[in-house]
Amino acid sequence: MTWPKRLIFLAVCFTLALLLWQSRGAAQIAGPPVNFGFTVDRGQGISRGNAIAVDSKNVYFAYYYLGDLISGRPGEVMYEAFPLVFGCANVPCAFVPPIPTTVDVIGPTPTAPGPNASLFAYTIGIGLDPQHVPHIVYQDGQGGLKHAEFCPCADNLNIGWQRETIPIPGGIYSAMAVDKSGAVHVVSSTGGAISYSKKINGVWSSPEAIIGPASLAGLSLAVDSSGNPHVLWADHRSTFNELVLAHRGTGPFFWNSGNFEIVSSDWAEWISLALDANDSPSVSYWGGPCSSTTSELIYVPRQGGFWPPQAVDSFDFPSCFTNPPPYIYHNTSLAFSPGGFPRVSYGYDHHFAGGVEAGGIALASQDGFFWHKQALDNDPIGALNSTSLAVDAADISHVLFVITNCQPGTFCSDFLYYERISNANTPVGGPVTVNLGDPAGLTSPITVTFTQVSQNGLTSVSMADPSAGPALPANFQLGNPPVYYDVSTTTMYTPPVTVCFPYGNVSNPAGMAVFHNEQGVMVNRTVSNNTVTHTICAQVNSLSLFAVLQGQTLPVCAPDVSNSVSVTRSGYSYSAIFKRYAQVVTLTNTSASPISGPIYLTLDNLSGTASLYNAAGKTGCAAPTGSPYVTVAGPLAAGAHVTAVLQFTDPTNTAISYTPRVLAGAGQP
Amino acid sequence: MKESTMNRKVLLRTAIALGAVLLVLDLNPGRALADVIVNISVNTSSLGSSGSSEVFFNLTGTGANTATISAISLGGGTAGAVDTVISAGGFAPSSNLGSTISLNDTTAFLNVFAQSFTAGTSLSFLLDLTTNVVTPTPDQFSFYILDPTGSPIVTSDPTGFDNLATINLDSPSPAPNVYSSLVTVTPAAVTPEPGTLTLLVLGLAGTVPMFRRRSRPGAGR
Repeated sequence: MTWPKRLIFLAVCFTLALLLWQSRGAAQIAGPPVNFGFTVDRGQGISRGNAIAVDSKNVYFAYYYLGDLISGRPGEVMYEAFPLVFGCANVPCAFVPPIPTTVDVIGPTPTAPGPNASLFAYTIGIGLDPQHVPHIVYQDGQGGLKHAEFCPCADNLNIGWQRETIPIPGGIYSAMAVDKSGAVHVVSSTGGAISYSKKINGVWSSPEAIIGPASLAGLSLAVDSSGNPHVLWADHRSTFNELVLAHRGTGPFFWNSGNFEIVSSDWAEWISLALDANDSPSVSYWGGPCSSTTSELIYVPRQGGFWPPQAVDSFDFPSCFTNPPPYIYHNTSLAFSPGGFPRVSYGYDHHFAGGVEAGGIALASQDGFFWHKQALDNDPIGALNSTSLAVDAADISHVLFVITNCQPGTFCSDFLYYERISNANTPVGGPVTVNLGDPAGLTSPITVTFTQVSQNGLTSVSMADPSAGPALPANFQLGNPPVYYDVSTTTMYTPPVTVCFPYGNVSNPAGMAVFHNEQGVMVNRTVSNNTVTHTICAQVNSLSLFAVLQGQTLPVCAPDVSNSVSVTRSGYSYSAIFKRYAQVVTLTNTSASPISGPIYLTLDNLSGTASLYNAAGKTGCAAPTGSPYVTVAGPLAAGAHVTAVLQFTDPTNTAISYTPRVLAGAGQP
Repeated sequence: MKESTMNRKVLLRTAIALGAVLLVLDLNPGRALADVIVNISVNTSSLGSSGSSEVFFNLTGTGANTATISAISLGGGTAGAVDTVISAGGFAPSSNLGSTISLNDTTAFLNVFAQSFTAGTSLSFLLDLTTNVVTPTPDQFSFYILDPTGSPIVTSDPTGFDNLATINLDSPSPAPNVYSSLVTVTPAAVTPEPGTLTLLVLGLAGTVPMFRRRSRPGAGR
């Protein structure tokens, strides 16, 4: 080979190598994103609404910051955006979240600790036009409604956020959407009356009244593929509750009642409307009928002209109330996956029987049949849990949420978090370990390790109410936290599966065990227990309800010494003053050894209508249990005797009978 | 000779009569083989005569025992009204401190007779208790007195009910439990048991042939 040929050969090899390298890099960038998140903002000004949008390039946030005396920040509308994909696969390497920027100042810095709660700024929306320009619709803090877009843009060549007042009044509830043509649609409420306007070709349309004054409790807007707006509202009145969906007709009365349909008669709050790829509407909300003692997170799609509700989650507070406590403010945000499956991010507050204040933010994903819920973060005090959701083309859920996340009694500020969750967090391969976090708020995550996965899917965990699960196995009690976990997956896998759970402080870590619900029976499937890291693992062939339980310390029962003691009973005295009977019982140690105290004279089979008035308790350890007993001084030397006085009540004044049993020594009677 | 024949006839008739009477007594099923009969006296001088005190006699159990209280003396006091009776027919309707009180636990587990009285120097009575023994829980006779304020005379009764005395019918010869120095319990004059009398009469009857042999002419010669 001549040198020119050698050079050409080398050049071709280099070029091929470069192409391969680039293609490798491209494949890496296009690889499945992973679950991760970060704090977007924090401080006492974090409160109220937030909004999120995603396109093929970026994730976009908008939220209110109501001002903070400590940092000196005024009331602001904030914005942040960052790339959807990162420079390396599976790890957000070298990613530094951008610093949020100010869209508008809507109020002064508070003069006292805490947010400037007087600012009229509650709900906020963000949407993207076909040129990926973000549009934000927000309340200006003073009762007005504004629109901001980042320019230069189609109708403004200036650089930066261009703000304008929208010609409909701003109430607590407002919503916006941008259609495929770039038109911005806005609805807002004033005094419960809902108005609509649209900005098209740089001009806002005249306000259109949708309904007159109502007892409004929520407003949501979506625009279909034809650019027609659909508006959802919750109306609470003294005589009825309605969740109503309306779409704009062709006129002359665009919003006539013929275009209204009642989605539900539930008491509904924190409503969210989304349209799937076929423009079919679905709704999510917290609420339920007023007769219910619990509130439910309900997803309701329109199917064949009907609205069949699906309960996704619940918490134990009535939905129909007039003075909602703070922890009721758990909103919902609904979006659809590219495959048409609903996703809901929502705030929750489970007051389970175990006493755990398990509030926080969760994401519920439906696979066509079942809902898979996963906690994104725990909020120990169940404070304001505002959230918004967007789902990208790779079925990754992007969730923005406000959470307090600090222990009760401690001073801390609120946080605005961003978290992304792949709805296919379990890839093909083997072994595959999925980190599920921990909905109970412990520091270590719950992990699920599949031996082999043949079809990827979503693996998730949620907390379940222990009272709804199978009965606890004998000699075990709820651990710490005292909850059940519901682990599920949509993957196809080859068993076994190893599931590891963290647990908190317990008196006997070595006595912990993982039980798995198998056909209604809790079976101990523990395979390892690290008592230092407080991580316990089970190996199972299927996934369902798990419980991390602690073994009960079996009590030591006081020995039965009846064979060493003779019991002599007197007759019954009766006091007409006390309306009671009394009997003197003499216990004599008939053995050659002393009997240590305390001595319990137990009355088994006490006749039905009689009660031992001076009982010290009932046997709970030494069978038969439930027998009343009195405590007699001990010890009792060999041959010695001691007397006990028994007092009885018996309203029927019939013969009193019982079988004496003598327990003595260390242990419980 | 004539006199001795008359003596034998009288003796024989007496023995037969006594035997018949005692045989009837022995066949009475409500009668125990042995009663405990005691004189009980309570010094009631501390109760004063300015108000009504009250005495409670209790008989509890299932042994079909009878407590008969007779020869009642109030030591100069006077009997008041019958106040409390708890029984299902286990006491004689005519029971009264002025005469005789009878309690029986054949039909009722709890039998209480209570009557007010104005105290004299003492309350004394003769207590006749049958002694049907029931195990493991014997019948019990007990009594206590409330003073004019309604408070019981305080005793050392371990039950806290301030019984003055109790008798557990746990043997044919039960011993009384006395819980106050105000109480004196003494055995009553021994009344022979009917069975004992029967043996006596039979023994006497057995002597009759001896008298008859001695009275024949030439007998013993």
